[in-house]
Order: sequence, then C-alpha cells, then structure tokens
Amino acid sequence: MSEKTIANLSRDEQKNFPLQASIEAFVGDPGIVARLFEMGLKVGQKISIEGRAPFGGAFLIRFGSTAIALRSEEAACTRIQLN
Amino acid sequence: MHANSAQLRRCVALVGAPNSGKTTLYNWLTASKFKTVNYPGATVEYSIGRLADRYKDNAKGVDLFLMDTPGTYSLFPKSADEQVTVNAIYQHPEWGVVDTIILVVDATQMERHLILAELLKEAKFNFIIALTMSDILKKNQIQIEKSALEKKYDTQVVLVDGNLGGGVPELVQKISSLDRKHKPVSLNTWSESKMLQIQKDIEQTVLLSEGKSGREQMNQVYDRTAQVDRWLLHPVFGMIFFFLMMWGLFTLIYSGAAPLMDLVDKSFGLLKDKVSSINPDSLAMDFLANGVVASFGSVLVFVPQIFILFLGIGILESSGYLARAATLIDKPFSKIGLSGRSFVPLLSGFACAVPAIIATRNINSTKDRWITNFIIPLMSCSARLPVYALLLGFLFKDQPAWKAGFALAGLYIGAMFVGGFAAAILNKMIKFKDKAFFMMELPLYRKPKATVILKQAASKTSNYIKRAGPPIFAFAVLIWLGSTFPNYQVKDPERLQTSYLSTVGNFVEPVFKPMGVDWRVGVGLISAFAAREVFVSSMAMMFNVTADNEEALKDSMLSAMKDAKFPDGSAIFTVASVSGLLVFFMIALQCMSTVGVQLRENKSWKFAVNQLIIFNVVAYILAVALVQSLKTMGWG
Repeated sequence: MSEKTIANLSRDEQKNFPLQASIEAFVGDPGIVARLFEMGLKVGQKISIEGRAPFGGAFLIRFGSTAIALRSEEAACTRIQLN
Repeated sequence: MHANSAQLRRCVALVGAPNSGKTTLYNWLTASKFKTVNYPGATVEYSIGRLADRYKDNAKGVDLFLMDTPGTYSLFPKSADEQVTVNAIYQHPEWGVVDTIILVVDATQMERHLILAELLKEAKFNFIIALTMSDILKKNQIQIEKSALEKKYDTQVVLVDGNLGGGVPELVQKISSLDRKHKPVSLNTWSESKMLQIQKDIEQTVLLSEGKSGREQMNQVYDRTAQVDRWLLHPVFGMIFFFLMMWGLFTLIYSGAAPLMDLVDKSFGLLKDKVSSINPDSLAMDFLANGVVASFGSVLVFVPQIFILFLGIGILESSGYLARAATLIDKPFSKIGLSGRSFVPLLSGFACAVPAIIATRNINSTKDRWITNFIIPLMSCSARLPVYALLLGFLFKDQPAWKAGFALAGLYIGAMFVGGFAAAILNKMIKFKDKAFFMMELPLYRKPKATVILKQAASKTSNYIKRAGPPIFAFAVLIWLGSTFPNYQVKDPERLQTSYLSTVGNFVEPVFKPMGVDWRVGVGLISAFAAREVFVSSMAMMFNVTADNEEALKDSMLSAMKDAKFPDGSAIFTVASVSGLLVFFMIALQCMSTVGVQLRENKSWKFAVNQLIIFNVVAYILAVALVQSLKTMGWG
C-alpha cells in the first residue's frame, strides 16, 4: 500500500489537477475519520481531486454528485491510489 | 371517536444533514421565517413552530408542532450544533423523547444522507423520509424507486419540492397518521466496522432506488457547479472575485442603507419633537420623548443596514457561494486561530456584533469559536459610523472629501488588523487544541429565491431588534435618568450640566484628562455605553448645540468643538485628542447589548466580563499613548 495521501501530493502532481484517484484506506485521527465517513467517503471510492484553495488551503474533492473541501490535516487521513 | 386534546398533540422533529433542504421544508410546514441554508449550521436552537393553516386539513385533527434542528450528519455529535440536535430528539426540555421525526434527505445526496436513516432506524425512532430536491430530479428526468427505500427502512417516503411546496400536504398527512409503534433507544457508540456495514447497506439501497442510469444522471447534475468552481475557487481569480464580492456587499450596506437610515432618523426626530411639544414642561413627556422615543430611535436607526447585511449574506448563502468563500479564507484565518467558518460571523459584525456572536454557534471548534467571539466587537459595527463621521468631520474640516474617506477606510482596516493581531495572540496563548473540523460541503450553485431570502432577512432583523433592543433601551433610560436628575425642573443644557451624570463625569475627569478631553466629553463616553451613537447626541447636549436640521447641527457641532476650551483656555478638541477618541472608539467595547449576548452565549460570565475589561483598558491605553505622543510632536 502506498503512503500517498491527498495531502502529500507532489509538486508535479499538483500541477495536473484534476487528478483521478481511488481511496485505499483511512488513517489517523479517528474523529476525523468518522467525519470523513459521514461526509460520504469510503474505501474504494473513486474521487476527483479538483484543485486546491490558495495559500496552501483546502483540497477540493469531488465524488459522485458531492464536492467537499478538506483541510490538509483532514486530507492526510485519506490514503489514495492515483489512477 | 374523539380522543382528548392532549392525545392529539404531536411534536415532529425535522432532522437532516446541512444543505439537505430541511429548513426550506420547515418554512413550508410552518409558514414561518427560518433560514434556508447552504452554509452549514445557521439554525437557531429548538425552533418550534405550529403547522401552517394551509395544511391543517391534511393533519386531520392532529395539532402538529414542528421542531427544526441544526443540521447533523449522524447521531454521533461532533460539534455544539450537532449536540443540540441529538439532545433535541432524545431529551427535549418540553417534549422529552421526540417520537416522530421527518428525516430530510437530499435526493441527489442519498449515499451520504441515508446514514441518518440507518441510525434512526437502529435507534428505533418513528420516522418518515422526505426526499427533497425533487425539482432537480424532475428537471434532469431522474427517477427514484421509492419502494427500495421504503422496504429497507420500514417507512414511508415522500418526494418534496422545496420551490413550489409540492409533496408537503402528503407529508403532513402521513406524519400525522404515523403509527408510533417504537420507543426510541440510545445508540451504541460508533465503530469503524459499524460504519463500513452502514455504507455497504446504503450502497445497495441507493443502487436499487436510483438504478444505473440514475446514478450517471446524478453525477451530471453537479457538472455545471464544478465548472463554475474552476473559476470561483481558482487561486487568483477566486480571490479577486472574493474581494469584489465583499467590496460590493459593503458598498451596498453603507450606501444602500444611507437614505433609509436618514428616513428613520428624521422620523424619530420628528416624533420626539412632537411628543416634547405636547407638554414641554412635563417630566413624563420628557421621559417619553427623550427617554423612550429617542432610545427606540437609536435601536431602530440601524435596521436598514442590518437588514441589507442579512439580505446580502442570505443571497450569498443560498446561492452556495459562502461555502466557497469560507474555503478560500480558511487557510489564512487558521494561521491566526480562526477558521473559514468564522467568516460569516465576522462579516456580520460590521453591521452589529449581536447577530454576529450568535452566528458563531456553527463553528465546531471551541477554541476557534472563542477567539472569533472575542474579536467580533472589533469589526467596526454600524454604531461607530456616526461617531467616526463626527470626529473625522472635525479632523478633515475644509479638506477634500476623499481624505476623510481614506481615513474612514483606514479605521475599518485598522480595526481588522487589531482583530487579527488579537486573534493571533490568543491563538498562541490558548494552549489546548481541540477537535476542529473544517470539511466544508460545497453545495450545488442555485438561484436564490427572492421571497425566501427577504423573509429570512426580515426574521433575522426582527430577532436583532428583540435581542439588542432591551439592553440598549434599558441603558438609555438609565442615561436619561442620570442626565435629567436631580435638577429636572431646569431646562437643558443647565439641567444636564448639573445632573448626576455630570457629577460622575466630573468625578472621573482625571481619567479622561490623559486622553486630552474634559469631563463633558467624558459624559459622552459614558453615555456611549448605552449605544455608541449616543455619544454624538450627548456631545451636542453637553456643548450647548441645538439646531433645526441635521446639516445645521453638524456645522454647529463642529464649530462648538472648535471653540470648546479647558478652564485654562487651551482647546479641547485638537488633532491629538480627536485622534485619541477615534482610537478609543475603534477598540473599546461600549455596547451593553454585546455584553448581554456574550453573557448568554457563553456558559460562564467570565468571558463577557474579561472581554469588556480588556477591550476598554487596551482602548484607553492606546488612546492615551497616541494622544500623548501626538502632543509631544506638537499636534496637541
């Protein structure tokens, strides 16, 4: 399993938004993970990482008919596999 | 068969995720004026309304009470708002355990919103599912197989249209005749495996109800919003748009409200004169005119501005833009201990701190909420404007208008910087780091409905009057008493100058001397505690200024200020002292309504008292420092 999370995308990867990915696992703070579940994210979910808010801000994630903005520490709890 | 009236009373709670269309539905059900929100958490606690008359027939004799709850994603609360919801349905102070629930589910977000359905079923609540956004379904020709949901959750499903109220009569009918067979229990704690199971179940259910093509079409519904977000969340263009929006909002508030405020001001002035003239020598009439009417006036004069602010925020919220604004601003705000969700409260603070403080309820981090609450009074509220206008008018008399305008902008921006600075310091000082979620949902962009927004703005404005009004009024009456007695038979200005208030003013004059002003200004500053704008009328009285109209009043006021002298002949109002006053007003907390709201919103009174003391002490110190340094530089 890769260590890649939404939060640690490389510079090059960040130049190529939107990025397609799928969720491999949830790690880290259980409180945040619980909330990520409630927002509708789940293992195996296909997501599109649309971009990032300025100043190193929130990551914009889209899946299905939903879009959410995740702070870095929240995004870091989501391990992904880039397609 | 006629059951007694107690049995026919039923309280139904509306439960659902933020942005699910719950509050729109609530509006329909109660014909009341609550918010439609895209930006999460703007519902006030425990709002209960009676079923609207138009649906009485559908309820078939049941006296239906509907309770709106703050949006929640699950029954495991993670913020103060969500805790309110869970409390409301499990242990409502009046209704105890709520036995009937309308679960509001956005038909385009079923995979997420059905989590609540699973949990409600497990907790054995009696509920019906209201599937909202059916207008979007219709527009995109998406079909939903209700039976799949009905079977899975052993309940009934009603499709509802928030725009036209379609489906609501059927909903009322079904909920009033719902068989309350279960008794709710509390849930076991959350676990990851439980969550995974729930997700699996939901996936199945949704697939059955949407079908494969339904899913494809649902995804497309969001496409247009995603396209707009490429611009509005763009690092450069997004920020430009953001600043333009804010600038536009402020211009609207201040220039749009100005003619209305003048109207209110004049009307109350007229009313006051009318009442006075009925019997100029009567104390009771004086009280009525200068105590009652005048203080009503000082509360109501800001209604136009506050209404426009709520209107503006309402439009931004309903359209979906505010979630984007919060997302853009979150990172810079986080650096100083705030959150993106602090944005709307801080924005509201520019009209009035009272509704702004209430709006912080939806900030789920306790620390962020504290800090936001603490700095809200630094957002230059409407009441400061008349004071700024007077003092800047003095400083920039005979100078081109743009200079004063510049200075005014400087005062506003300066206050924002002080706020940011204060937030940063507090952030460093407060050690604990609590569970803070940002995780902002970015809803579909929608065209706001004019009637709904107007109604919501009106309702919020009337709430402002109800909350801010009484403290302002009470204090204004107090000031009236202090300024009228003991010499009430004499006319103003002698009456004021020999009053209790002036005695106090004289007594504390040593405090005001370092600020470069005398006891008369001191009286004005004390009076400003009722409401800041009272400073202007107090000053007019203390310096013997009367005039027939606003313009003449301003001019006479300015020349009176120019001529005002200390006993030793030196001028009272100088660049130094006026600048000191400006700084004082910029920072000092001179609003009893704010203190009142803080007392109520925070469990302990320490917060409110500390805030009051700290702000005023800091304001004083800075004002004195400024005055003394300007004096030594020769500006005094």
